[in-house]
Amino acid sequence: MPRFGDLEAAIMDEVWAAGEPVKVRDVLESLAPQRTLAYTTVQTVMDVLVRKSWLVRTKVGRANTYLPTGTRADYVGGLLSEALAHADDRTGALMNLVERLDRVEVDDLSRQIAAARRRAARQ
Amino acid sequence: MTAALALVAFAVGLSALARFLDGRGWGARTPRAAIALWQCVAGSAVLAIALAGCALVFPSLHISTDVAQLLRACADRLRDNYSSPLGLVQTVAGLAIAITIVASVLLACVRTAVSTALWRRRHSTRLSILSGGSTNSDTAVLPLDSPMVYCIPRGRRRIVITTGALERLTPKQLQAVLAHERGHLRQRHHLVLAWSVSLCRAFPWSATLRIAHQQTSRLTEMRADDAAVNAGCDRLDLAAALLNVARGPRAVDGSMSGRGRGEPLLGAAFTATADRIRRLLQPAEHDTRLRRVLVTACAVALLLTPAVAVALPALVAVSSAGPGE
Repeated sequence: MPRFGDLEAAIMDEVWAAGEPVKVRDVLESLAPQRTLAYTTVQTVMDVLVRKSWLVRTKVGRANTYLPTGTRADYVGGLLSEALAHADDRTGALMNLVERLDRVEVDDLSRQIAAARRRAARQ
Repeated sequence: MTAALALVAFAVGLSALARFLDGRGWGARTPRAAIALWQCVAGSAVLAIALAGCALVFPSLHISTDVAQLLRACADRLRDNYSSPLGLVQTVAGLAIAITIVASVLLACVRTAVSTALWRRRHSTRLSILSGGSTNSDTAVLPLDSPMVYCIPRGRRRIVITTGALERLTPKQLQAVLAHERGHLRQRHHLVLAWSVSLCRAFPWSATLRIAHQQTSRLTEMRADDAAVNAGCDRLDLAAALLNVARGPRAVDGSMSGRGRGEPLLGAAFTATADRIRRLLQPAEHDTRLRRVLVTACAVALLLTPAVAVALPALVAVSSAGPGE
């Protein structure tokens, strides 16, 4: 039984892939090969995504259609900007691997790594 | 009064020690013991000021095994204080200092814990949607050209890596980077960092606490580097991996985040990355045991000093009073 969060991710994948407004039925059909889901389940989760501002819902005729509120790239950029900001603050909320180096440092360290590799190869 | 002054002087001395060690790259050979020392410097400074407050309230106290006698001595001392205006001011000031310090620390800890937990939960939720689907691994991949790797101590998929980073790392370098992040998570560095930043938030004017936090942050990165090496990764692979991630384009600009919080809490310009890479290029230090023991002993001594300084006059008084008193 897939977790709720996994279903949210799968649905967003389908909505982003569609590139145009989708109905619940469209998403259900796209997901059908990998998962057996009830219509109401998919509809519930898509409404949750609307509430969380990932999707926006409009009525076209009698059916509801859903659009993403941003591209995946927008969201990823936003998420990582936020991560960087918190990493800079050093609160320990997350731990960033490295901080950016300037050009001079990068060149200098590249040379030092190459020299160390040569030393290691000789031994 | 003299005890209070001595404790304040001790705190000032700690501040000087912190400034002296800061910027010298100290502790790289024994990061774990060095982290303990920095935490003891910070804790000891806070303790010293809090005990200075207590010393103002109870300038001299005869320690006695008889609790009733001890309480009566406290009451006598308080009554003496209240009987003179100077004594009253001293008592009130002392209580205010001690209570404010304890309350500030507790409050800062709670606020940090809550805000961190909330932030992590929000971040994790968005992360799971953006990295798509369910996998059994502890790593989430995000589609972005700019190389980034970080870990969040929460949930199942706690290491985040961008496609830009994956493209720039060889398989061995990738293993080294993941081992580094897992080292952070296994050793729970986020806990000591949360404590450390709480102290900074409780007393934002204190340079000692800020330095202790920055140094702790720098040293936990070295600990994670060592963890990766101990897990079998080659030092040069890890060094090259760090450089490859650090040199990539920073397409994600911190200023885009719209934080609205003004300046970062502790300054973003602290580049320890170059130091870490150079440290990995040197051969591993063997047999640092003596050094580790010395550093740890200093740490413990620093932490105990304020308490001993307060208890010493009382112990002296007890021993001079002699038995059977």
